[in-house]
Amino acid sequence: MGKNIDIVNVMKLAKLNFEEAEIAGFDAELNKILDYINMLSAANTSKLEGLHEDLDYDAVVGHMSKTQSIPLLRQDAEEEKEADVCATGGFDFNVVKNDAPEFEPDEPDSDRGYFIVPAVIE
Amino acid sequence: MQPLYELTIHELNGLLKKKEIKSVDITKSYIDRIKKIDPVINSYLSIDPERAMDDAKMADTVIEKTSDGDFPELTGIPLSIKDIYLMKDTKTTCASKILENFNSPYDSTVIKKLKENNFVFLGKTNMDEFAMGSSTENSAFKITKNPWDTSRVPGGSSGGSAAGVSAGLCAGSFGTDTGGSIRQPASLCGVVGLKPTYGIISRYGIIAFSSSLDQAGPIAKDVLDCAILLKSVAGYDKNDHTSRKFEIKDYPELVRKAGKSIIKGLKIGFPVEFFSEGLEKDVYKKIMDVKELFKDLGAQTIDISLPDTSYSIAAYYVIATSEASSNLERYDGIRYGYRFIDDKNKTGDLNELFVNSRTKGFGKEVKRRIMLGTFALSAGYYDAYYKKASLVRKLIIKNYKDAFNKVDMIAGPTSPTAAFLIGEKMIDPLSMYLSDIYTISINLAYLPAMSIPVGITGENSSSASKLPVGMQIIAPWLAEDKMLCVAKVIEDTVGFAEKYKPPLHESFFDEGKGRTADMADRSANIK
Amino acid sequence: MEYIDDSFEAVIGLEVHTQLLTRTKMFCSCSNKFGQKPNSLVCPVCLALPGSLPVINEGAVKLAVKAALALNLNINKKSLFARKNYFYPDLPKGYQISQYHDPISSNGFLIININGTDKKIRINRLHIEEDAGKLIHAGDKSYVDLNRAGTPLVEIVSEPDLRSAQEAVSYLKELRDILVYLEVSDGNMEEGSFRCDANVSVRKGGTGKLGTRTEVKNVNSFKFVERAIEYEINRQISAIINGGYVMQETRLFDSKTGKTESMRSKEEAHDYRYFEEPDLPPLILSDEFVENIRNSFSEADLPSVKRKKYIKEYSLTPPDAEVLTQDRKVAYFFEKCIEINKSKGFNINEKQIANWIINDLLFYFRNSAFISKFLKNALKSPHGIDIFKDRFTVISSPPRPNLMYDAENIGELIEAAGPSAYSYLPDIFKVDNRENEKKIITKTIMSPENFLKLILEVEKGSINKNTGKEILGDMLLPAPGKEISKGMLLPYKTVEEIIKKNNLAQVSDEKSIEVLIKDVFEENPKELNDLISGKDKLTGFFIGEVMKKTKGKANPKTVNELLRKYIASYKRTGGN
Repeated sequence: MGKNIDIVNVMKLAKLNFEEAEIAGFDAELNKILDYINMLSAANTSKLEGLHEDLDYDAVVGHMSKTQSIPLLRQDAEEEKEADVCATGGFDFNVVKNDAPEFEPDEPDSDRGYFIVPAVIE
Repeated sequence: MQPLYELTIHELNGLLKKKEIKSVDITKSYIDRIKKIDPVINSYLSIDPERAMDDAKMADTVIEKTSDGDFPELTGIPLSIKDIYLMKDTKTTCASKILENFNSPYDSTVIKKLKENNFVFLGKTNMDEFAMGSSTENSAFKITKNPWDTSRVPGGSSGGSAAGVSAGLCAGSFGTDTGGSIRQPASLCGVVGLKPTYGIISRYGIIAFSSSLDQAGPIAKDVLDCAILLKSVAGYDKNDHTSRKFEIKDYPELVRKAGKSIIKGLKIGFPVEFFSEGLEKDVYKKIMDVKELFKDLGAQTIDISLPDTSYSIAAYYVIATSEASSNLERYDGIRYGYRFIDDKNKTGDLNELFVNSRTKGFGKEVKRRIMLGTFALSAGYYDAYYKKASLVRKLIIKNYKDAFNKVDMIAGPTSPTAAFLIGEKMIDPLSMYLSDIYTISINLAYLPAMSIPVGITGENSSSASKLPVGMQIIAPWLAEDKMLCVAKVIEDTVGFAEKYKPPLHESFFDEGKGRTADMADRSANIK
Repeated sequence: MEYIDDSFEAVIGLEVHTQLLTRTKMFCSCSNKFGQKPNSLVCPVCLALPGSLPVINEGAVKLAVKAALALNLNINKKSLFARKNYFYPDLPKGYQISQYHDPISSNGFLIININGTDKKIRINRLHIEEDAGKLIHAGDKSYVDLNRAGTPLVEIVSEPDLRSAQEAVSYLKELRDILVYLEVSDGNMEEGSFRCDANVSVRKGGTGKLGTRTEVKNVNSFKFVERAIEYEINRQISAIINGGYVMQETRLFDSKTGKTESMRSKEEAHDYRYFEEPDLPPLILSDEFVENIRNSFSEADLPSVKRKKYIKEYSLTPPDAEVLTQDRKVAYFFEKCIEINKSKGFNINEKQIANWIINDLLFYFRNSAFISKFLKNALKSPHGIDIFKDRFTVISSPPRPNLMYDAENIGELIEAAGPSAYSYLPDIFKVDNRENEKKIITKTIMSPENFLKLILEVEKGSINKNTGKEILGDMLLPAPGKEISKGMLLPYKTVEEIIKKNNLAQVSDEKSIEVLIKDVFEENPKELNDLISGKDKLTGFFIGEVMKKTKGKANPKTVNELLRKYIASYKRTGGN
């Protein structure tokens, strides 16, 4: 704790880039915020010993519920046909296709195709 | 007769039931109001009057066909929606340049439910970019003004929704609340805002800021409207693994029945930590007035302690930014949204595509939080920040659990101050973060809470701004019903809506007054 | 294998990723299948559209638990999902949902057999995660197809208990066999539904200290796993004995050169920023859930158990037993044959049955001329196209979705599919776990009973072996023009029908063979003279000529006997 942010490394991880001048500003702001956040180290979390599970969402909120509150898993489709339909909220792929920054149909009149990016160099 | 845009949802519903008015009348009233007022307030990012009128006609058909007024209460009611909800055939920008031209290919669950309730869609409201902010100043597109004083912010991030409800630009609205984004703007704009228990309203189709903190909720003119809006969208959704099959009660019915007697014998806790330094004097006074009121109504008011509240902002900013840094990785310029294309280097380099699209697509506050969150999760820092913050979150949950063993409900101010000036806190992000001190811990603890207007600042001064003060009521998990009922009694007793109105005088909108060139430029994108 | 310096010992651990055979994806209800139009099996969730959320597929959890139980892993009743963050065009969310600190299972083992000795290989963990999409590179662009994005995977991480490339391969094969048997995975390495990365290090024998390890990626066949590991071991040993050191890095195996090459250490920047997936609750498994899965399969179903049984009870050689148990369906077919053989009193030797399956039946599934014929026939059937569309699409890389599934370009498809083409044949041994297996077996085009009858005919000598094999091919072929019910091919012909129809009955009567022998002698006077004067190896030539005349229908045994009789008499009479 208390370390300064290695802003260049974090920029790389976050896929962001700031101009030289900007970096200084960000650096100062972020470190000021971080100084504030560092107060966390003072919090006495040893009080939680043995209570972790009791303080999980489902323990805390589910406990208050008289009805079923266990998270339900999604059933896998029973039939091939069922699996073919995935249209949550009436999903329309055409909207995605038409809006995509760069999209190429797999054949001239096809409704499907590829998103295009600059070559990935392995 | 009052103009229709001033009526509440339940009042409009009553008139629709009696067939005294039609939804097209209501909708027309709102569209006219928006055209007149919104160029100053800037609550909307986009409106679609034609679509709204179509929705209204459809609703009227439903109403006509149904006997005994047995149609959903939201039938024919014009609502606005924070621009964070995906809705087919609308743009969903999240007030970000990176999604400026993003058309929703599907409906969020909330929208799906509202459609089933035959609502009328007016438009999408302004917000802080990706819901990151407390003033709506972080919108990439426009600055929303507080209807009570247009030199001030409406709060945020659901500022457009709160300002819109307050100024009569919609009958009600849906916002989202990650650290106070419904309650704080509701407080600053003098309307009612409710953040339900985490898991009650599906997050599916709502653009994620911080998954474990985000909750959708209504902003409305009064408590009963809030109950109606909540009921219409709450419930288990198989598309959201964090939603649960909780029992959804008939909130409007319970609120309608709620009388003063329900307060009698209630134990209301007032956390000492919510009355610490930084609390504006007039705000303090108004909350104390309500405390007295509670006593008058027969409640027991108890000073309680939430000892770890002081850590809540720090824990919140670690958790929220960490989750956000990850949630916002999908905005990479590949499948949708903004992609940076360099004139001289069209295809370019993949890494540059990522970096430039994100750097130019995101606004400053969003980038600041992505940086903070990325740092908090990065190798060597995870334990000290993310892990520690998660533990502190449990401490805060424990604080509330302990408190609710002693009291039935907790009350205090929603925001330490009334609406602040535009630009006032933009220079210092930390000061902006600190303004969420009373709301943030509720999200960390998954609790339901709401803000209701209880008074006005500067009452005894002729020069001071007359700004609304909101009181926050915090209920135990899943006790939205009781919370709404208590809020309803306070609302009736205080009578805020009858006493105060935002000073949106007709003259205000005359040529040359209030409407600046800047405002005209930034006016809503009216189709 | 020989290392450059025998005093070194290799330490190997394997990370295996395998796709799960669910109907839908890990976190959305998109269909989990292979080879469809690009970006056609996508939805808001697997496209990572704003606002979309993952929901755990129970079917994937069941398969993961099943695999974990078979690998003797402890099932963790509470496990957590985590996000692994990195940017890549095939990773739409910018993070992969995986399990990190609390996997669904941990601490198991697998017994492998090395030269007759059992060895226990510890398994550190098996956890659930999702696959990424696919990238196709062409020129200065890359093409993103997200059909595969969100496919359920399990990752199985072994402890570094393997000491040689052979051990690694044997572990991998055993693991694959189990997963395929349990129908958790299709185990297809070439297509990447079963993938392996190897962590390799070397140390001076006897020392406990582990050397620096490298991770070898891109080994997509058993052969490559072996070659890559061997290369890597020797590379590391030679680095050390030449005074150098081994760098911790990821290396790619190049199957063309047989070498591993450094991925230029760009990996070093990887900081995945793992944290708990806030969109998913902890995965809680009840005792009942786990027990139901435990009871759904028996030990006897596992390939290693079957192998032992085959060797012991039917006296099969270990390699034969291995071939028969590699594919669960083949093993079921074999066992069904054994059962009928007994009940019908055919009395064919079990080894014979095994040989017929291994050398003849499976031969056809690897023979591209046969596959081509098979598919052509099948496609001519009314519903043939339907059967193939789903199963046999784009197996070429890069995908060629334009390829039509008609009889004309089937050859092109076969070529594109390469050696794995046979796995696209509609299953002769189709076993559908939702139906009674016995019922299914008898529904297949070539029933075990017909297969045995064919063997019997050959044993009786009414047809010769070669003809038998030909008939087998015919029995496997779908009849063009016949109705094909869903997933199934035509009502089969019987052996008798085929023999009769093609007039394939063996020519065994001595009279007609004698005539033919005389003809052959007359046609080849020079060879006959040489034979009489002592060139005995020409006997084979004459047998061949006679067989040619009968188009292979003569019983070779009869031909041989008669021929020798004639030659002996010629020798005595000096050619008259």
